[in-house]
Amino acid sequence: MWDTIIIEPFINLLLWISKLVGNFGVAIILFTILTRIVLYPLTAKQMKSTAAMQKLQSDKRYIEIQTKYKGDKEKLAQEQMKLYQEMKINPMASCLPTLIQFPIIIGLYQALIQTMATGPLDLLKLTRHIYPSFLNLAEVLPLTSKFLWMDIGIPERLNIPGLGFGIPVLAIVVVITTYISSKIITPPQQPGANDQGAMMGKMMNIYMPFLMGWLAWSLQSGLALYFVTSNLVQIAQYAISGNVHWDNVMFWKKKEAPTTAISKKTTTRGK
Amino acid sequence: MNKNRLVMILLFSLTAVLLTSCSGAGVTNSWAGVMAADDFVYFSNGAAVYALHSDSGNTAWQYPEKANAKRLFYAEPAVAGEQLIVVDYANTMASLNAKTGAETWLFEGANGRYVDSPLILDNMIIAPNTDYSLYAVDLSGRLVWKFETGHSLWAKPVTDGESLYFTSMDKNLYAVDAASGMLIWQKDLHSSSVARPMLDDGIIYVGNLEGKLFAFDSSDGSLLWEQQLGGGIWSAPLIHEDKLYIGDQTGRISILTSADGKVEQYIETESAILGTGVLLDNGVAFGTEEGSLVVIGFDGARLWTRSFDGNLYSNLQKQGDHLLLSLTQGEKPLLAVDLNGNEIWNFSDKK
Repeated sequence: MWDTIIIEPFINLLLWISKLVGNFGVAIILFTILTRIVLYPLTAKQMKSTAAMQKLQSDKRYIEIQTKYKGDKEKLAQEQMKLYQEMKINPMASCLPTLIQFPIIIGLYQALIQTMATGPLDLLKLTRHIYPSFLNLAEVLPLTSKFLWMDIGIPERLNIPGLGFGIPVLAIVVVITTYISSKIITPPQQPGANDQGAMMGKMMNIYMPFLMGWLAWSLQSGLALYFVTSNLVQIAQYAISGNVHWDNVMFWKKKEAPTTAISKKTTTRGK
Repeated sequence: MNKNRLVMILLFSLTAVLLTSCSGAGVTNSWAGVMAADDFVYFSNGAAVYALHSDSGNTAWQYPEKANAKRLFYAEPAVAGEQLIVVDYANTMASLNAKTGAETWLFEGANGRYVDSPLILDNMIIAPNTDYSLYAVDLSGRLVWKFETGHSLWAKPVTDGESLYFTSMDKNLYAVDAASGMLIWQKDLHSSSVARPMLDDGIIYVGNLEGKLFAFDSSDGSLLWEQQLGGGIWSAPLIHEDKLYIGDQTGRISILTSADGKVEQYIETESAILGTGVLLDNGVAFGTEEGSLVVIGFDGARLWTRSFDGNLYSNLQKQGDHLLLSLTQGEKPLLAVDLNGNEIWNFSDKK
């Protein structure tokens, strides 16, 4: 069921693009951009909801109830709910698009792995996933696994003559782009805002890039290529929406300490 | 450490492990290889290569002694005198003492995986690799030559003693000089091939993933005939007198006339046949994906079928009166059965 609805259409689309462009690395990039564009309505919805939540967190009333009911979690939740209703905000609205996207992204990931077919069992599965009426096996195989300096089917390392080890360039780029993509949508913390939530967000911003970097370091470089492209498209989409905080990644710029929620409702927005 | 932070780190670590293990990198994406020589059965079963006593299936030794997740062994080992050559899914070819399993040398000059077994020719080891190259290494582990093709090499070559014949995923069949590694000729197979070729009486028989079987003259590569079979061909045909016997991905066993490729008869097993079968005194045996051992007479009559737990993807091997069955995902990964399919012994690395 999962294979029929998600994996097989993805595999066939990926192979079809690969057949058109003649290179599997380029196909992964185009395929990632295409799926990100298709999923954009969901991403936009998520960004809109996130922005509303950020606006709420800098609202005077929100900050007040955070301070007032700090020790009473039940009461705090009730008051927050009242405020959500009053401001017509659905706190789940920012999660739902992510939840819908999640199986698609997992499917994409699985389709990529299966298409790379680095062993006989994978190849056997791949030949069974191809729609014979849509693609001809002889035309789509073998996949051109060489892209720039890397082999899509194995973990990427850039070997420089004289250097005794390979540099995991893609893994480094994955860490950087994942950090940027998560950091630029994180608003500066307001005084009195929910400390626990902010703390979780901060930890996510630190650990997520390393998790993604670890995956890019240890898995096939085709997946790392997917992570990088996906991150870059996501950054572009955030930038287009205008809801970004570039200051968060500009370490060289001296940051102004956030004053109060009232005097500084929103921070720097993308132009 | 802050409790939240600890939970977060644990969650991320778990996710990393799960995603890595779901990726196919470092997990089983091939099937085991078995080979019999003298009094031993050598079994490459993922994390280790086992030497088993052929009469009992008891383990004589295993290599490496401690499993290493990065070194996975699936290709059948090859015997070169007292050396046993094993190849892995990292990029390593190792020479072991065939009797003790002691490592004598390593060759790490390749950049890809060794999917299939190396060929031993006189004092050379000829090994296909997924880094698009065929490697010729001498018996002390030194590279003699390397021949590069347009894509991955997944199948063991055949030889007439002077030339090597092998397929590549780049859709070609190659003939190269065994001594120098120089190209003699190459022929288009129209589709990728992962099948070993078979050489008999100056004719090379080889199939591709689209299910086409070809016959070429080994001297100049001229095409003698080609025949479309039921589905993808993953292994070499068997020959008995003037007939070829070959299974395909649709589960069909085809019997062809070797002179002109005419299909005389076919038998449906309804489960994919990927490994090479074996010739018996009274017919041929093939293993199927569903775990059946199908034996047909030379005339195509179905003699008997036995079912086993697991998938019979690997090439079948015959050792004396035993058949060796490597069963992927089976409770018993290796079975020795008699020529009627009755179990004699089994080997499980979980024991």
